[in-house]
Amino acid sequence: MWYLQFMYSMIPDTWIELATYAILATGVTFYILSKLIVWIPFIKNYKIPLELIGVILYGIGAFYAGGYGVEKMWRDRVEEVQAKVRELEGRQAEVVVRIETKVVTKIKKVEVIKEVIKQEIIEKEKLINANCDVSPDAIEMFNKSVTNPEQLESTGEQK
Amino acid sequence: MRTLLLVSVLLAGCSTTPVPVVMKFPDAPQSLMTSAPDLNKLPADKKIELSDIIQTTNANSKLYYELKIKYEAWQEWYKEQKAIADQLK
Repeated sequence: MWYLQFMYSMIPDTWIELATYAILATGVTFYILSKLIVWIPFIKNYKIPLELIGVILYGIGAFYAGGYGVEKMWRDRVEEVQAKVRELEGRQAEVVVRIETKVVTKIKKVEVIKEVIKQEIIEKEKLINANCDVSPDAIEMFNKSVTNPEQLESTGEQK
Repeated sequence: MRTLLLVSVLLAGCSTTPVPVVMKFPDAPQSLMTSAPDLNKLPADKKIELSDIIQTTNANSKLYYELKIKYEAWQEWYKEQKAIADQLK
C-alpha cells in the first residue's frame, strides 16, 4: 500500500488536478447526455449504459476531487512546516555557534587570569615558602581531597 | 439525481496519509563534548612546599571554572534549543 501512496505523492499536483476534473466533467457530461438522448431515435437505447458510465465516472471524479482536496491541503501544510523547520534548523545552528564562541572566549579569560596568578605565585615563591614545612600527611590529604570520589571508592581509600 | 448527490457527499473528502516532517536533532557545541579532566595532584617525586600546593590549587580552580562555564553553556544550549523546538508544535 505504501508504494501506491509513494507513487501518488510523486505525481505533480497539476496532473492530478487535471485528471480529477476531467473524469468529473466526463461523468457529468455522460449523465446529461443520457438524459438528452431519449429524444434521438437511433441511440436512445444507450441511455442506461451512458447513465451508468456517467454515474460511475462522476463517482470516481468526486472521490479523487475530495481526496485531492485533502491531499493538497496536506501537501501545503507539509511545505509550510518544512519551511518552518528549515528556518528553525538555521536558528539552532546559530545558537550552537554563539554558545561555542562564548565558551571559548570565557575559557580563554579564565586561562589568562589563572596564568597571571601562576606567575604571581612563582614571583612570591620564596616569601610563601619561608618558615613553612609541609608535612607528608598534608600532602597525602591534599591528594586524597582532589581524587575523584568514585576512584577512592574503587581503591578502598575513602576512610 | 439524488443518487448523484449522495455519492458526491460520501466520496468527496477521502483523505490520504500525511507526510511526516521531522526536525534534525541539534548539534552540540564541540567545546562541550570533551570529557571532564581529573583534578591535579601534588607530585610525589619532589619536595613539596606551600607554593606547590597553591599552584596546584590554582590549576584545579582553573579546571573548576572551565567546567562551570561548560556546565552553564549546556544549560543555555538546552533552554534555547527547547525554545526553538517548541515553536514547531
